[in-house]
Amino acid sequence: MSRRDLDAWFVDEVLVLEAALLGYLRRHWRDVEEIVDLRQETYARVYAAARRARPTHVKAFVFMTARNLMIDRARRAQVVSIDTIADFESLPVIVDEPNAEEQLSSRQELRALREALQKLPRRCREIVVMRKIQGRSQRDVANALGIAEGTVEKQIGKGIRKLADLLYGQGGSFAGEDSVRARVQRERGR
Amino acid sequence: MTDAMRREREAADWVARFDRAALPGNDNVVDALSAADPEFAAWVSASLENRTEFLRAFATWRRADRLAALTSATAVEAPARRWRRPVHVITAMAASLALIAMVIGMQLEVTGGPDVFETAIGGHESVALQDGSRVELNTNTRLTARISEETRTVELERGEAYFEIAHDETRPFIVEAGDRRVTVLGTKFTVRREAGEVEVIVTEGKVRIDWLDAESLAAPTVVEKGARVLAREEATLVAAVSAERLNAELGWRQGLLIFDEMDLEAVAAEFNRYNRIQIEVADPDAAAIRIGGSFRAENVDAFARLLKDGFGLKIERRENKIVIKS
Repeated sequence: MSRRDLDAWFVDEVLVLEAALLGYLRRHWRDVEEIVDLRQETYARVYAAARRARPTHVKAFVFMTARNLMIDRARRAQVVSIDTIADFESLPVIVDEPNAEEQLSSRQELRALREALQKLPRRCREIVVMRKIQGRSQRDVANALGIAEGTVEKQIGKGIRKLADLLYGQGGSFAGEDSVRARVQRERGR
Repeated sequence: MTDAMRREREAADWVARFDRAALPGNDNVVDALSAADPEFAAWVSASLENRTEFLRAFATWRRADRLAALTSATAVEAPARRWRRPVHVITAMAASLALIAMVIGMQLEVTGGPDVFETAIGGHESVALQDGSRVELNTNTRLTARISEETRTVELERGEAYFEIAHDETRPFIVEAGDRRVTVLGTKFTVRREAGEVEVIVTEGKVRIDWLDAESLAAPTVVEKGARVLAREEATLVAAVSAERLNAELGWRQGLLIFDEMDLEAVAAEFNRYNRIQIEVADPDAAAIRIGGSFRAENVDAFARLLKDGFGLKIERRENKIVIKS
């Protein structure tokens, strides 16, 4: 697989699992400060592995990678008991995660985008609206608002960061209903 | 801040920096950008974490391109007050006062915030936009105009308006009505929005009509003078209009309703757009009677009398209602 295909594969097949991946990590890793770090390393490991051979069952592979990563970290930290590691090893890798990664229809996608947009801070949102909906360049936006281009760029960077968390990290518009559904499933599973 | 959070921020900032110029297409974006920017090349190749984090930020910003299918007004509830113009509500009675307010408003504000114009039921107003274009609002109409140095956009929230657009090739004039976007290529035309339907009639020049629904891949409709377009959901119908019909359709600009052999039910619906007193046609026989001629839109009583005298229909006057029976 060429690099370009690999990048596209990563975006289309792996990134869309982010909400489920984060849910999995949060449930099994106590330190919330480290979740972003675990996510990033899971992605890097998945990407590196896919460079050699693309996994057939992407979701199971991503979860397995995350589980192994947590085991490695727990061992390295040497603060967790053997029990905890055994626990990790028995973790299912095909979990009944909500299907937030299912392809959103165009209409759902638009709704997800609109909802994400509403959650941006006002200033940031206004600039994203001018850039993406009105199709104005960063320079145009800066001129229209009477602010420096660097400020516009900074706000856009902030917008991208927040949108990434909203669109991938929370699985678009399904975050709310899915967390409820996932909870119900988990309780049933007990 | 953890290293991971710093990386997340750096990735987003790279995308924002590249967003200053045109972003490359989706294919091979990392290589394309690396070739153009050695600093970026060093950062993105430093670790696979950097690379995947960049792909995540880039994909996010690409996904946000889909936002273009929204109109500014439907995307966000309200623009910041700082950049907002005063709202001008125009009714027949308050027109002169409102016009004064509008002139003051225009002098105070320099940047391109929105102007809101509104008519009550039975109202009819002509307003000038900042770019020299003229808009005539028909009854019960509300629209928001956003005229800036780069763009000219009017959102028709409800009702009907006639547009005479000042020619300016550098700034296309866009009318957004529900899920349709009418892009003007220098012209005179009307847009009417009612119950999920958008009607466009072109009296001069050319316009382009796009469907804004996200699932639509439909090609835009381009129509010229003399065309009438009816759009509802996925359907866009284009028909030629005769000169008489064109005249009739624009009768409201003179305060007239002009009918050419239209059945009474449709005629009543047309009167009802302009008056608080609503005509109700009580039976199918009466509803099918065909009416021709021109009438003052606000003079519903005269019209009812005519039905009585001319067609022998029974007229029953109730509060806010005129019931017509055969």
